[in-house]
Amino acid sequence: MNRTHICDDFAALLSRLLDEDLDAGERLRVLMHLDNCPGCRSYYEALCAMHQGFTLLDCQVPDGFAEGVMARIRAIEAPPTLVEAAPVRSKRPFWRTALPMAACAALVLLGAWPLLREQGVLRNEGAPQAAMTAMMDSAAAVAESEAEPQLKMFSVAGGEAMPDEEPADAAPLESDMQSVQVSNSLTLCAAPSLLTQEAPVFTESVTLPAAVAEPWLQTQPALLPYTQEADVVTYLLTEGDYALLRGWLAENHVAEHVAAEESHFATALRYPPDESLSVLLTVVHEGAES
Amino acid sequence: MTEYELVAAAKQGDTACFESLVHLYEKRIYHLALRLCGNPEDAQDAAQEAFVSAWRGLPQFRQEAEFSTWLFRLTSNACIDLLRREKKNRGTASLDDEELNLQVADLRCQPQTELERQALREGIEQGLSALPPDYRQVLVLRELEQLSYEEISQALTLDMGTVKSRINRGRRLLRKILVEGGNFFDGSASKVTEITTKGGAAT
Repeated sequence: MNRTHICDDFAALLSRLLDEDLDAGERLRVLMHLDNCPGCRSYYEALCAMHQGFTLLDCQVPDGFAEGVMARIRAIEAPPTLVEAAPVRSKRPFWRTALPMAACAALVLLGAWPLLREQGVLRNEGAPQAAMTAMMDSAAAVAESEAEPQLKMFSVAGGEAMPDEEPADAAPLESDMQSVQVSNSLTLCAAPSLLTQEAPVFTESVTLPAAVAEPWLQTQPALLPYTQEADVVTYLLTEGDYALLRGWLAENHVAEHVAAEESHFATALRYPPDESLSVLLTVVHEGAES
Repeated sequence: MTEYELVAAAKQGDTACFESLVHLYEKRIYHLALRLCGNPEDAQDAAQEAFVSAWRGLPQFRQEAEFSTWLFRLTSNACIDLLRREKKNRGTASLDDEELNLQVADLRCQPQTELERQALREGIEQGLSALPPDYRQVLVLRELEQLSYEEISQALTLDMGTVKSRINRGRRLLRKILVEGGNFFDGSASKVTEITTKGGAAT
């Protein structure tokens, strides 16, 4: 028996000997074998050395790691509102620009509503439903709690006019999700805290067919629609989510959908992801994109 | 607050308590991710993803299970997902491989113990990276996190026999990698004995 030979019958037992997983009988048998088998003894010594080697491993947690985790957690907890739209890129379908702008417009109106109502600018024609009133009251309470309530300013690059519609037709609210129909075709969905949070800054927008996006969305149950139309639904992604989406697309061999947007990725993604920035994912159902 | 209380509060949405848990586990989780992923960038990404997954999954988490074991599982899954996604899985080595293309430092001639330790540490790090993920997972949880077979079984949802078998095969393969990388003399444990003796007996 030489020192390079390891007895197959004993290799697993030696591993368990190292982990102190043998009963007394097994342990005695293995120790007796080690006395008589240079190969297994050499192997066991190697196992011990590797065990020792593991204790030498160490690491330093990167600075700001926990803060980065908590920033993502808080982003999940309280989806931010929209203050600015992303720079509008040329050669893009109009609706891809119009949707975020419509969302901006909705929020402008939602934010302005209590102020305007207080000043008598708006009349409650066509009595908003109770849920809408509750949302407005909530926003008004926030506004009143500030010393000098001011209407937030929204800026949209590109200079295209925002839809000029009042949120007159309020949709009934879901239990934990507020949903306001701001026009005949566009519904703004928002978490209850949405009206009072800091706004996201769109760094990018990406559009995918529903057939491609929906399997991924099913893996992200926490992701709620941002705006919703019959055939077009948008989602606000953090850059971390966006990186996951890209990974998923690549893994599922649908990279061609990503490739079309490749020129934008350089500006859209950075490492580590900046969780304060948002990517607008637009999911288009069949026949909607024309 | 105890860990149990922190978890219970975090389950109710208390972010401050969850933050305490993050601070409590960040080093272990990051270290685990680092050893599973093999590089700091991926480790940070996977470790962060594990904590985010924990936050999202907390409402469904049953506290009769160990929070740490669950967190190790999420970390392990995040690392495996990341390795698959980025096609960085270099775990093509097997016990039958004739050649392993490793660049493990060969410092056998260095007499200083500290250098030998450094060589062993580097060898282990690189050897781990070369192991197939299935073996790497169980070995890191056993050696680094000191989890019992049963805890590994729970963390990875594997039966105990599979855990023992993978640990055994992982160790055999890691030793093979270290031998071929020049960190161990094949068939001679003189260096091993010296390191083990000077560094304190492993078991």
